[in-house]
Amino acid sequence: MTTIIFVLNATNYFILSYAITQPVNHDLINSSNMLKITLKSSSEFHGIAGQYMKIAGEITNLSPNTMDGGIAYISIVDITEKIPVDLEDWSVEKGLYIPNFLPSQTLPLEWNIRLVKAGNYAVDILFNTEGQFSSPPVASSKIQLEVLPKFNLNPNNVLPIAFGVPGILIGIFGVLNYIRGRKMGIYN
Amino acid sequence: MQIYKHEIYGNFYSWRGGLWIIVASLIFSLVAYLLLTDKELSLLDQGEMLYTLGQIIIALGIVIAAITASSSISGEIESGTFENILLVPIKFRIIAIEKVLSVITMWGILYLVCIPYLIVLSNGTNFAIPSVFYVGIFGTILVTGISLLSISLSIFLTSSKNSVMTAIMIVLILLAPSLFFGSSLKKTDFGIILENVNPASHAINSLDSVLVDNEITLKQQNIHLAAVSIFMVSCIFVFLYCTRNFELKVMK
Repeated sequence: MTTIIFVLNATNYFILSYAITQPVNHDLINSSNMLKITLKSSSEFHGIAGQYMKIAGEITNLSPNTMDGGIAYISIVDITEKIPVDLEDWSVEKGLYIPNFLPSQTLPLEWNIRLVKAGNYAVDILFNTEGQFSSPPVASSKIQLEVLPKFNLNPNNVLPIAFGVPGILIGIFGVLNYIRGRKMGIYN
Repeated sequence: MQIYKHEIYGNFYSWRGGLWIIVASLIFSLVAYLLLTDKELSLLDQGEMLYTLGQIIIALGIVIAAITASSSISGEIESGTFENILLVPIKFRIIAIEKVLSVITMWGILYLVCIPYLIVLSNGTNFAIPSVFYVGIFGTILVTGISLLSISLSIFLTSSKNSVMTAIMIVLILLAPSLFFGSSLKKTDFGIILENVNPASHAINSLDSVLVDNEITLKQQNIHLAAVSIFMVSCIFVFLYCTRNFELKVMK
């Protein structure tokens, strides 16, 4: 049985606290209203493809009780193409497992992601509590990410090699063929 | 070294014989040009570009070695020139070793051709020497092993068609996990076992570790180097077994 104490403020109503007794009603006390994810990174980031950026945040247990743990992960959505991004190439760490939260505990969250492809993205941190299938994930606010294209080298650097090496080889074989032809009397 | 010289002359004296190296250089040119100038591909990290080119170089070296070596003895038998070779007063095993050396020389030339491409792709990074070094080390060990194995097949099967087909299938099996398996399949128990026993996977995973993860010291790559070296030693034993008393077998 759960009792909720409402305290009347002079002007507003606030939910001050939950006085929880056994058994716990998960419909009212679940991860989505007892956990909070705060972004520590800037809400806007402009980078160049190939660059690394750090996504930092923290997750706080607002409850005075120990809470079930779960998995924190990042979500990257390509706004231009309107598709979620596969993290395979973007981040080595896919998710962070947190076994449980102590009362009022705050834990840091951090991901290093490589900006693989140019475009506009929305990045946020999500947390799914273990075992609570009916509760929605906890989400942070979004980071607006703009990735500009990067051209690693001036194309002119590769052209002399791309055309030069086959050209030199053709030249060498041409000369060898000519020498052989002269020896055999083909060009006389 | 007469057989060796004959094989090398056959490969390079006429332009037709050396066409493969021109085609190989065109493949390297195309890959390097696309990686550096294509809008999407040029966004790849330079380490990944080098890794892609390194895979292509090693795969091409293995394929060339397997095809050339697997028809070297059976081709002589089929064209009726093998008896003439046996008339040379040297042991058959020496003849076979000279043929292996000629295949390794072909790899050496392919390797020399690929060095400018590796240097251009690594421009501005510290990957130039590691990429040239590890592609050279792994390519040479794998090509030597595959050449020994393919010549053994050629001796054992005495038919070019069968030995070339078998050698190509072995090469495909060796390259399949790295080039054709998706990342999810590689993570299955079967995929992990296959990657652990496969020398080509070790070579390609080592290139990944060096060029993408920046683990460039020999100490960090000793597991991969040991795996490909064990493969080469195994191929040497197969080769020694197949070339044992081959003259007598032919006489029979």
